[in-house]
Amino acid sequence: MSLLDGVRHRLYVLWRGEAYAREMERETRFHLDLERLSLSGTGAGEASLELAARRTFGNVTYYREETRSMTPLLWLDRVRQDLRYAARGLARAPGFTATVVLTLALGVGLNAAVFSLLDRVFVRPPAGVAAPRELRRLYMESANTAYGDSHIFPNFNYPFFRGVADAFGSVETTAYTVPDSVRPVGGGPLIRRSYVSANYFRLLGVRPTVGRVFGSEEARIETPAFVLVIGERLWRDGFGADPNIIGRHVKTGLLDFTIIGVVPDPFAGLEISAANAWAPLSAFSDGRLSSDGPPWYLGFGNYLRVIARLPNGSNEAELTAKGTAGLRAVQAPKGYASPENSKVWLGSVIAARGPAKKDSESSISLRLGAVAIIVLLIACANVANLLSMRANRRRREIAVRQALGVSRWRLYEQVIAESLLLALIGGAAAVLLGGWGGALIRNLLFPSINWAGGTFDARAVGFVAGASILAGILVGTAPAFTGSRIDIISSLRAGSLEGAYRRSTLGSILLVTQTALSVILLVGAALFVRSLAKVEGIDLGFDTPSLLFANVGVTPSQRFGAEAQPAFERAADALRRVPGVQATTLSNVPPMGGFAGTRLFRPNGDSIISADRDFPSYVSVSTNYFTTVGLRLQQGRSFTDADRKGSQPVMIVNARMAGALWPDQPAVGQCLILWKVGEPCVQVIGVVEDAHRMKIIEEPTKQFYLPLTQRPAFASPALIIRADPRRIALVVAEARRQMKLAIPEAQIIQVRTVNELIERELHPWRLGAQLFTMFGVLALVVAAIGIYSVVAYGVSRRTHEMGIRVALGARVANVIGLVVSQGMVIVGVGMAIGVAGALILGRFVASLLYGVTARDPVSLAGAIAVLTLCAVAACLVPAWRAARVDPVEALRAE
Amino acid sequence: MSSSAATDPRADLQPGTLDMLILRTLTLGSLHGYAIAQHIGRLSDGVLRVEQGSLYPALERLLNKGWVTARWGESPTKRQARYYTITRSGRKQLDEKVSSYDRVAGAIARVMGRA
Repeated sequence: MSLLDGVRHRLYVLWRGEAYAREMERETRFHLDLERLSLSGTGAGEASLELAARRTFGNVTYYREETRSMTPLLWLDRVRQDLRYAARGLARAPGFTATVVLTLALGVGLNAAVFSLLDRVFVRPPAGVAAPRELRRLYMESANTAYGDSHIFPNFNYPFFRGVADAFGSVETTAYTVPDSVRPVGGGPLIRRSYVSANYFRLLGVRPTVGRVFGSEEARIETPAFVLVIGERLWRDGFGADPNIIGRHVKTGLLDFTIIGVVPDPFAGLEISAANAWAPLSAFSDGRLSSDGPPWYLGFGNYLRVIARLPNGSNEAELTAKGTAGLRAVQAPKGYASPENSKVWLGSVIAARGPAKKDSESSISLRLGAVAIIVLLIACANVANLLSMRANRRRREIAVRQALGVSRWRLYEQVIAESLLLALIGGAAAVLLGGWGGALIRNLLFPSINWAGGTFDARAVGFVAGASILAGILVGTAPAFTGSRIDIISSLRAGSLEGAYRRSTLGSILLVTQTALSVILLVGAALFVRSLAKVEGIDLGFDTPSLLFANVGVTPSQRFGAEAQPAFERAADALRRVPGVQATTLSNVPPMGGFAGTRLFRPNGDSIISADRDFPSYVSVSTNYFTTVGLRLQQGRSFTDADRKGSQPVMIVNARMAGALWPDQPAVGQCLILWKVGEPCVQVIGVVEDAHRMKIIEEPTKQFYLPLTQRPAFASPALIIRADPRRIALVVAEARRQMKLAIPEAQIIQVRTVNELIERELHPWRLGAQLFTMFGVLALVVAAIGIYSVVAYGVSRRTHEMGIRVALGARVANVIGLVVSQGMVIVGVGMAIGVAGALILGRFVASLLYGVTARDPVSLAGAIAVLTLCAVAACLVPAWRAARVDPVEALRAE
Repeated sequence: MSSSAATDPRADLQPGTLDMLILRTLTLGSLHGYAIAQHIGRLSDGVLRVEQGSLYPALERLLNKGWVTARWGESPTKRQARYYTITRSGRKQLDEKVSSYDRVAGAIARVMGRA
């Protein structure tokens, strides 16, 4: 088979390249020897014979190279050659190279960072878990939510969990709490501890490397078992990989835990926030201080997250129905309102994907992804523009190369090689930037999440590589398209050193795209910034910047309550003398820190508790509470020392409650019965302005206030301090010291500002504003570079024309006007498209906004104004250059 | 002008033409490179003189295409030489080239009024 002969020959050359080179040498030698022999009759000398033979043969090296160039490996050589050529070209244009690499690195690096974030939150199942596909997260839908926006949530209380778990039958479920952070008494590693069911590790398929995990010993919820399983990393980093770790004690608060086992990395629980230690559910407590009432596992505190392992082929619908029936069966006898509306849902084990309303951080992650892709598109458009202008500038060079016989495909290859090289350098820069940016985004913007695992993994690097190669090809094809289709003759003949000027349509399209995308991002930024401003501007009622509070954390065995009050009063008195402290007071909960509830009746016995969210709640306060926190009394009087235990019970209601209960008559002088009919009627002595209860964004609620003397705090009271905002840090330290002096037995003393409490709620808004502003500015800068380079390129092409205009008497203003207006026409088209896009895309962010609509005219106008300013500035620089063209120079340059 | 082909040692020879000449030469039997060069030079009476070295890239091309094969053998002077042999697909190729060459040459001759 002669076809095979060819293949065999190529393979031979490929395989035995060295030997074949020697063969060719022998062959040439043989040839030259014979030639010399045939010439030897002429009687010339040896040396001249050899020369003559070589002359007949031709250039030996040239022919050998030509032969060698046919070897099948040639393409590798060609790639190397292309890359070397591209590298030389890029090195000659460092400014261009730097701009492109930086633009790509920003675009791609940002994408990598965001991708690793999305990957972590939405894609990757919890690490170290066996067969995560079989796992489902359980959600509870309930109509009886007193407050909060969500009606489907991932939290269960113990009785409901048991009801569902029993109904699931053979399908096993396990429950755990979201990890808390504690430090052992006497110092030690930070422990992020989750309380879990006894079957937790077995169900997840996590086996201990040392010791044991929980078993039937820890299964009884009624019998607290203070044992601890720790993660491998905690064992290594926190306990120095102690081989005798089993049996070591870890004391947190008043509880003494014994370590019984170590589980291997990378298991860190099932939440995004990592756990490194696990205790049995029986050791859990809800932080209650008094022993009144039933234990937590009989109460309605929704502390538990629930996971089920479904064997293959399970019928999820049937299981959901069973669980729902189980849930309702538990709810009904407990007097739970409308259990017929309750339902159990199954969702992915990945928390962010669940059927529950997405929490704001994961919804921000999703939009972040969209924004990152927009930035990548802008970056690509910009780079394509730069490359295509570069190709245009090199028309003459390309025409010469084409005239010298370089094939069109080869030119195409070289243009692509250049873009790929740029993309690879950009990709490398992006990996650095992405690793750094990812860590930045996670630590700076999502501080509340303790990330399990690294910040930048192999998948993100793969994504970067893929994205940069794709970007390279995208970016390479555009200029290759214009670059390799060059009319040789006209380019060479055009006379002007740079070839004929033709306005680049592609460049204009790319510029329009960039401008449009920038407008979208800028509008987004403006919307978020304005939302943040609106949220920050909400009047909470309290003077939040001046307020801080102190309270003590205690463990179940510590009995605290009404008897703690004198100690708090001592601390309050001492603090009042500290410089910077303006006032102190006590209440049962800190401002924005919660509320208490009770049943309410009118004097005639009518219940006025309502099932809707606006149920009346109360705060117990001491006499100077209102002046301290900054709430104005609207009618009546405040509490005085005369309102003691045993005197006439009194209350102060807020404006909303007064208006709702007694719309037609003054509230002062009315009376209400608390807790149960038969109790003495509590007299309303004043009306105070409305204040927010727990959240920045909440509807006004009915609230009333009782004197602490008549209604002591259920748990430890809070010491509220009004301080000079400039001296907060000092006051915090002093408050901590005074609390320690007043209550020496307190294990945990917490001193926080009220702003810290609300910061958590402000965070998503701040995050949105920061991210969108960051990306908006980034897009603006990239777009400005794009506008500048397109206009500057146009001007450099038209030096000749500008020279003629100036020679004919055009003034500076005329030339500048011409250049700027031509640039702005393109920008204007882009802005129009961008505004349309922003209006269309607005609804995707509408749910994240507050106080502004997605079509907010102020935001739109602001974005357009900022972009117009930048675009005019970007046009002015080259326009100025054009206006200063020396007509003589320009015309002579021919 | 008219004599340039004869006097210029690098007379313009299209690569395809050289291939055709080599294949034609090899129909005589297995030959080494020097013999092929001599044969082409002798037959064309010096008109088609090419640099002998250009033969080898052409032979390599033919080897890659599978139209000729090469193996080392002993020359009459007892030296090792590389002998080229035309293959079956090489012969087929030659036939096609010759017929298309005939067509073109005939056409040119007719245009020049010599047919």
